Amino acid sequence: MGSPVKKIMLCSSEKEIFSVEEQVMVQHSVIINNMIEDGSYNHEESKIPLDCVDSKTLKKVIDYCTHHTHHHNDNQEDLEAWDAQFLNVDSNGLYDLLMAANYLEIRNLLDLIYGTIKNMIKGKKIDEIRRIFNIKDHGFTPEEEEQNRKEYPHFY
Amino acid sequence: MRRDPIADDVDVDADADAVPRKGKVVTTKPPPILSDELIEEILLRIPARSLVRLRNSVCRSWRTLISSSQFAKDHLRRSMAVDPALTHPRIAYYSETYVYPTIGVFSVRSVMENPPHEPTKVVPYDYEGSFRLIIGSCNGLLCLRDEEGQDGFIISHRAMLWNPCTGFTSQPLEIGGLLSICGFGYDHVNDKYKLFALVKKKSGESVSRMFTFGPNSTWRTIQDFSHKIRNRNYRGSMVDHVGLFVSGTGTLNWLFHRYLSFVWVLSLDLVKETYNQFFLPGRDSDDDHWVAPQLGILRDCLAVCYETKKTHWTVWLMKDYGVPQSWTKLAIIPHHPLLDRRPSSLRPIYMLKNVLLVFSPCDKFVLCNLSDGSVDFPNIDSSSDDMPRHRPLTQRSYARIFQLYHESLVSPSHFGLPSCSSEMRLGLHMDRIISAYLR
Repeated sequence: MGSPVKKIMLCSSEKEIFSVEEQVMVQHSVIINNMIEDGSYNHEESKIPLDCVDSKTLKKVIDYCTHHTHHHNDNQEDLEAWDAQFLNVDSNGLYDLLMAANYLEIRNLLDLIYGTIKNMIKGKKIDEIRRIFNIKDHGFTPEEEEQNRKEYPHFY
Repeated sequence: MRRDPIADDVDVDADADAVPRKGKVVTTKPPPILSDELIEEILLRIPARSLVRLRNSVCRSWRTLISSSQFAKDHLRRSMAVDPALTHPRIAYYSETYVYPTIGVFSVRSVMENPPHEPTKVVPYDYEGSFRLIIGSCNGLLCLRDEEGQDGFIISHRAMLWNPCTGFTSQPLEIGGLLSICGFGYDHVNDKYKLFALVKKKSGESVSRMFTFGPNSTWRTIQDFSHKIRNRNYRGSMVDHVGLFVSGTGTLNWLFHRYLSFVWVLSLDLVKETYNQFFLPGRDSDDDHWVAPQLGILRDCLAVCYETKKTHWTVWLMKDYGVPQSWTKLAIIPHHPLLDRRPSSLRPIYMLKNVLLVFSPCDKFVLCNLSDGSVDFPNIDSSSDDMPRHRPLTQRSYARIFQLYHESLVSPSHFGLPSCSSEMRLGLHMDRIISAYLR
């Protein structure tokens, strides 16, 4: 028997505690890696508070890191298929993941999400892009907006 | 010849519809608003030409962001480093033989792919007014030359910058004479776009001048270029009058030879405004002449291609700029029945993985697969380019000048971005564009 797998505790915005293999988070999250390295995480009593990440999102982030730690030797196609399935969420879920990945600095997940959002807006009309990004106030004067719509009707 | 497909920029199967629309899933909280920092990260990944479309229409904060010169620089840096879908490199060309030439533009991706994802289609940019031709390109800007005539004689040349992607056009810069030897590039230390020119003045006297583009373009006389080429040890013929800019080094480079047996590069540093000379890679001992050497840029390095032993061409790369010991043999291109015009020169244009794109001035574009030695001749549809019909691009491209450029949002920082769209035809609304910058 080897030594027991080292675990760390993550705490979501709903104060739910998630226990995760340390290695999984250290490998993917720059922030957690730094905390472990500089000794600011105490295995006896620390919980890492993630006040801006809800339980549902945190669970997904942990799934992602776990899968990519244990399956990093899988072939590229399988990993991509898994990623595509993983990101098959609504846009709110996607933005929650983006903010969590950004907060925890999980670079490969960030790249994956940025790529997905980029694909979402590719070839879209301006009104759809505003909807995707939840832009309610575009900030243009009515004259500017009218001018834009008149000048480039096919964009809208 | 089989070539690897180029990964598409957008996975067709994973478009927006794969993500359930809002409303299908019940959410209890309001949709999040992404921070400016995250929006910027997303926009940095979007191709320059799409950003031109989004810039003025989505919202004011996007307009401010996309229009900032820092964003244009960050976007350029990123797209030059990571662009697996080959979204940004394009080739612009014009014909030297036509009185009022059209500048045509087509994408490198469509040339490199086989079978092409889409046909290589030339987009013409026509304009009214005087004869313009391309001097060079750098950071997505093309430097164009036009001329001022009087009584049917050309009395002076002018130069201007043009970004075909954004439609940006700078004010013309007065050369004060006729341009002969010249070159365009970027001084990365001072963040300035510069044009070097050997200017032939009305009096017949020639002066070496360095022009700096800006709202008030300036010039200064620099150490004499002619003096350099009259030096006893370095007296020879110039292969091309237009110097080649090597990005990152801030240098312009000209190839010289003496009876083809002695070949060297003369370089001009745009930052320090000083000259330097270095030699080409060593030759095989049984080749007593350099046949038709040509300079090019591949993988951001200076490259040279010349014919060897009448059987093949050799392409070399100078891995560390200015260090002759760093010349590395990159490729051997075997002779081909369709490339047998002599003397045959091949100019290296672009390289993607193991496929090299070269241009044969007397012939056509050639794709060379370096792993199996095969060559291919891509088909370029120039039916809409308004060039004389008897010389379509796919046949003899003689007297057409090709310029590779990397699409960007860049305009010289002090100008700011124009308010026009990418569909703006150069020159048609020149006054309006210029007045927009000066506002």
